[in-house]
Amino acid sequence: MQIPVDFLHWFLAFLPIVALAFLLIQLRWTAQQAGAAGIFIAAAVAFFIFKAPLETLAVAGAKGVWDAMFILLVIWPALLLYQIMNQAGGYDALRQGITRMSRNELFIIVALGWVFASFLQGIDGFGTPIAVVAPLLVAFGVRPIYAVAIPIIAHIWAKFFGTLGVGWLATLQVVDLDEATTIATAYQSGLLIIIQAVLGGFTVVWLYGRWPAIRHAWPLVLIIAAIQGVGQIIVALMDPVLAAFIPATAAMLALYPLSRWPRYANPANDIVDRPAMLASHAGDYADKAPPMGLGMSFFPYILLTVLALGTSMIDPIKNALGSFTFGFPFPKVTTGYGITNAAATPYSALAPLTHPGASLIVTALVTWGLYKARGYYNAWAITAKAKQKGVLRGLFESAVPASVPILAFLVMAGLMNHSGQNETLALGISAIAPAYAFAFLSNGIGVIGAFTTSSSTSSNVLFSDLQVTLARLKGLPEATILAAQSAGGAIGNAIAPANVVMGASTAGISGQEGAILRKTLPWTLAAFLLTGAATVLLVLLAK
Amino acid sequence: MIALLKNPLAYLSTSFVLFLMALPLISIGTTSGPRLLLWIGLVALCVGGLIPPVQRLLFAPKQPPAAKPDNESAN
Repeated sequence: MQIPVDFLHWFLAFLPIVALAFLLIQLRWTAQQAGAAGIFIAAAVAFFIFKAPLETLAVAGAKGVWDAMFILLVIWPALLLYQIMNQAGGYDALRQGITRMSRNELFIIVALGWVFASFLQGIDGFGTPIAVVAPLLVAFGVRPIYAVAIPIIAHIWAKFFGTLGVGWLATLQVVDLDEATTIATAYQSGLLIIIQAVLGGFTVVWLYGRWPAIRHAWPLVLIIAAIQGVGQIIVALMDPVLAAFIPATAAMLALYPLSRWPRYANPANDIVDRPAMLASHAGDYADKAPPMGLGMSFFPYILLTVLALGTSMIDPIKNALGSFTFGFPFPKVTTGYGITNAAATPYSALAPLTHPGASLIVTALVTWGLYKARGYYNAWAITAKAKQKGVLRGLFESAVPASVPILAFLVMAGLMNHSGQNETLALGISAIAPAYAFAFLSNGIGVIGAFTTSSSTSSNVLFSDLQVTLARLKGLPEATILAAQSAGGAIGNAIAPANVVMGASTAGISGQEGAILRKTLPWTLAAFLLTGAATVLLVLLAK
Repeated sequence: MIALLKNPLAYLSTSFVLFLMALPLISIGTTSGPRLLLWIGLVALCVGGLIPPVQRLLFAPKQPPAAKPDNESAN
């Protein structure tokens, strides 16, 4: 029996996504609540409309939980490292090291709002750049609305490959690609993401001081965007997991020589109109002195680079660590319409010792021991005049709420995939959209996914398989369309409700989310249009 | 139960653990083990997924204050 492709089935297959968007945006449910509700809507459609038996639904859900493990293995150690750094004053040391580099206010805004936010996305992600940088910019004298909009826009380029490749790993979990297509996807994703790096940098500068600021900062923007964008492509071809982290780190290091350039070492007195600023950055920024220097605060990221590079690029180590794998077996399951998923023993085996989470765990534990031995936690608690909640408690309180929506979205994605809902969506869109129009709009599907779920990773999990199916139906290169989805999934984060709400709350302007969206929406539209045009160009070049 | 649903960390932790428990139960129940494990795993998956939306329905947050006008220039 063939799966029916008519308006009713297409609409019902789209219903879980519409419901998710409605719950998140209109009813303002949290990602945990909306994602979990989405499971039952997808399951009901699968059971009653797409004739998926309970066993198929159970297997699809369990596979979704397993798929989430690959992401959770990064989230938990990344948040552990964040707590270890934060509660020792490590991020304050990093920020102060940056602000001492220059007397040029615009340079500092670029350094903190763009380069530092991107660096945090490369390693931590999950909203950390916004949560950390927005209050730092407010403290520096940036108007709160701009202080939220700047890091939101500026860290987008590092979303897909950031957090040690979470978005990339999640995408590979839900699509079945051969090696050549996988490499082409990484390369073309990097190409499309250059748009975000360049556009993000110029937008930050524009927000600060309009055209005079652009005239002053264009060399700085181009240099940093080249390090980030081109660097990302180069590293993506070697190890996509490090593709955002290494160029983001290189851009951080490049700040030092750039700060010695007289153009950026001295105040930019020709920029008179500065709409982003509340007051002048007058001289040194007096603050609480962190217990460590810039070098020690940078230590975990150096160690992480060494470990990640060692376990991914030195073959004897990689092979030895990669020999240990495990996973769960699942039987063949099918639906009443003949959508079949083969048996797997095991399904999607995990090599935990070569997974990026392993390097993160070792880095976090070594850093924790070092900082504790040097007494940073006690010293910072006295300096900050606040009782720290403790690293493990902080980890638990941040990682559990972050884990549940990931599990829910991946279970929902598994149900839609195993029941044939994604296939129906693909066939329906394919029936009405010409190939090149679809290529142009394909990143828009990613934007919608990130907007509805507030996560580029979730967007890719929900739509990557659909996009690949559509590309095959349209005769378009799979790698290009998947790259457009990945780029769109990142772009949509600029208007993602959870990001805007989180930034507004950490900057102390809750209730002014609309004003922040008015700053980020034009950037989102421009990035969508440019990415669409670039996608069509890549398709033409591939023909 | 009510106390559990009023504590976000507690109900999210419960949901998290139930999701994780479902994985081995369903795998074993559908392959080598007794079929009962499949149904226990399915129940764990369902309850883990039900907790967050049920919490929302039972304890909907108070309506947030209306958004202020765009007074950014006054900030």
